[in-house]
Amino acid sequence: MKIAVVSFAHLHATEYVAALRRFGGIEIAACDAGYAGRPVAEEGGPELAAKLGIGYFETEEELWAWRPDGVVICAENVRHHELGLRAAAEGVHALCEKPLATSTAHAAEMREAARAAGTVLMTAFPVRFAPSYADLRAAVRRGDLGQIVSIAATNCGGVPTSRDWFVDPARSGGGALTDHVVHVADLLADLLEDDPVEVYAIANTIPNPGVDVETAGLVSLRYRDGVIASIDCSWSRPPGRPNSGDLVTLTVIGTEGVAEIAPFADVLTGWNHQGALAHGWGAPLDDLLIRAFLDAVRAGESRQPDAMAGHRTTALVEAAYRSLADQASSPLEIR
Amino acid sequence: MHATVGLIGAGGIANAHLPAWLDLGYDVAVYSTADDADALIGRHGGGRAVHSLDELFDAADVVDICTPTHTHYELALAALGHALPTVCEKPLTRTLDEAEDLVARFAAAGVPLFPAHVVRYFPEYVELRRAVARGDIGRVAVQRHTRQGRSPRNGWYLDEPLSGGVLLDLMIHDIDIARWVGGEVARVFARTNVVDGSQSTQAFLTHLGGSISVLTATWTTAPIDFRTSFEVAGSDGLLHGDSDERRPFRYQGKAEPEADILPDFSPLTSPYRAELGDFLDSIASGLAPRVTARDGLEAMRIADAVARSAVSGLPIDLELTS
Repeated sequence: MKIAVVSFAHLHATEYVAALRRFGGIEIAACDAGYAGRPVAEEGGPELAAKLGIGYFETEEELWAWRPDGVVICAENVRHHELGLRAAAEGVHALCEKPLATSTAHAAEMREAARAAGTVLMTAFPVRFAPSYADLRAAVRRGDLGQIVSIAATNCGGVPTSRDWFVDPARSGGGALTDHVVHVADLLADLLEDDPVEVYAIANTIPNPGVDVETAGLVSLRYRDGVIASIDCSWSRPPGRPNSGDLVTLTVIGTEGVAEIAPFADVLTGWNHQGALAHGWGAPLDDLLIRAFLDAVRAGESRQPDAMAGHRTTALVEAAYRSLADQASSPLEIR
Repeated sequence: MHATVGLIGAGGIANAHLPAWLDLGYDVAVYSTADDADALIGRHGGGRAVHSLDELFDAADVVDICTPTHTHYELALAALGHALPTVCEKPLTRTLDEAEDLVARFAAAGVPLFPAHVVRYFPEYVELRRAVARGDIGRVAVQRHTRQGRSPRNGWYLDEPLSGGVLLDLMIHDIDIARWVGGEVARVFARTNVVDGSQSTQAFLTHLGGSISVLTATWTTAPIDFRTSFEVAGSDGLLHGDSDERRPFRYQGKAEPEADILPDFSPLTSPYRAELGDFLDSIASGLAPRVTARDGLEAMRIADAVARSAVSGLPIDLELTS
């Protein structure tokens, strides 16, 4: 099997390559055409490909001409649309880094193109594979929580510093709301098997100031059955913070029980003379995601998290930005 | 000759206030319309029961209202009628109109009124406020405050017109703390979901100056422990507290907790002793206590907006007073 990585713009690419290599028996190549335009300090291009031990193409045309069985799209957010459509046009299966797109219209076009071409389009939501999430899902399905009343979710990190495009809205589509709402929105959609009907959002640029996008955001959701949910998506962690295991959290309040998950809570902690030591040792979520994608490529049919997972979360983020602009709750309807 | 506090109500919170008053050297006259004053006095080994409000007001130098929420307004007005400094358990009143009227009347008469927002005297919140004021995290950006527990099984709490529900019982604390830490609130948006005896309210506050807060208050019929937590993130760092973490004592085993056991009272650590002592000091000194009547009123103003937003689905802009 041949898998190509399109762009190292998102450094998750290196994790996906590592996961692909661990599976073995896969030809892996990449193209990082945008490399030359990036700041000198941002590694990428043929040097990074060599370091990762994979093949390299100078142009994306050469990559498509290689006829990969699947591509992993790790370009800047605003290029996901173009690359998703191209993959479908080439008859190539695709796993796209989140967010699937920076507008609902683009997400819908990508989904439709893959459907028409009969190709797989999946969205990279690795947290869906967290064992703690599976436990939560099972507990909810079994009825351990009774009827769900409310959910509080967080996905808080620092301002991404590995790449400067994250804080350039022309390439990222936005800040913390774009980057951090979708992971937990995907979990909520899967858990509740429904989409919210109303979205309210507030944001500011106070944490980690000095960038052109929102660095703090809070989102409020209402579902048709009355369930309410909140999401804190802020880039509120200062640089140099130790891993405190709280990258993603979900608290689900039910009439019969309350469940909480922290999928990244598996952290070995300690100290040395330089300060805190913190090493995550949780389940290999990227490997589990890549395994699902490879399985989908082999079968020729999508696995979860699919294009719809990317579409519905993109629509939710779009509604959050609409709410910010209108300073009012925004209705959400997903088709 | 000791001073006397007239304690009205002998339910849950009176059990926290009575030992604090005794430790402060007060004689305590207890009046309750429920038949529970003698039990309260017996349990704490101090205080005496009185049999009418008139008897209580005649004996009292200070009044402490520890009754169900919907009765606060009338009782506080009665205390004001006797020109007595008054502690009023939170929420100040059941409605914003009552709170505005009460605060205006006490101010006009020059009689001290103290809304018992005791969380400002809980050490982890004192430390939070101190750290923020010191500049540990730069400028406040995002606050999350959570307060959850088992649904009360005592009738009036679950009766919305009497209590104001989880909003006025639990969230009012975090409304006060969010404002204490993050400043005045300019806009409020909220949602509430009630499922039988369970309810959650989530409130989204935009503070003057742009910082944002989400408050979550929950009563659930599930048998959970009471828990509070917060995270306050700023321009340069964050602070985190959770009553479920770093507990100095934990026990798992066969022993059953004794029924009706009293928590140990220590004058040095009781936040109730600290708040009542602060009020007494403020009366003696004429300086403002940590929580003023206006703080209690502003908490009610925000809570009222939370309730209205949860019904209308619209954000509500608050007009800033003085």
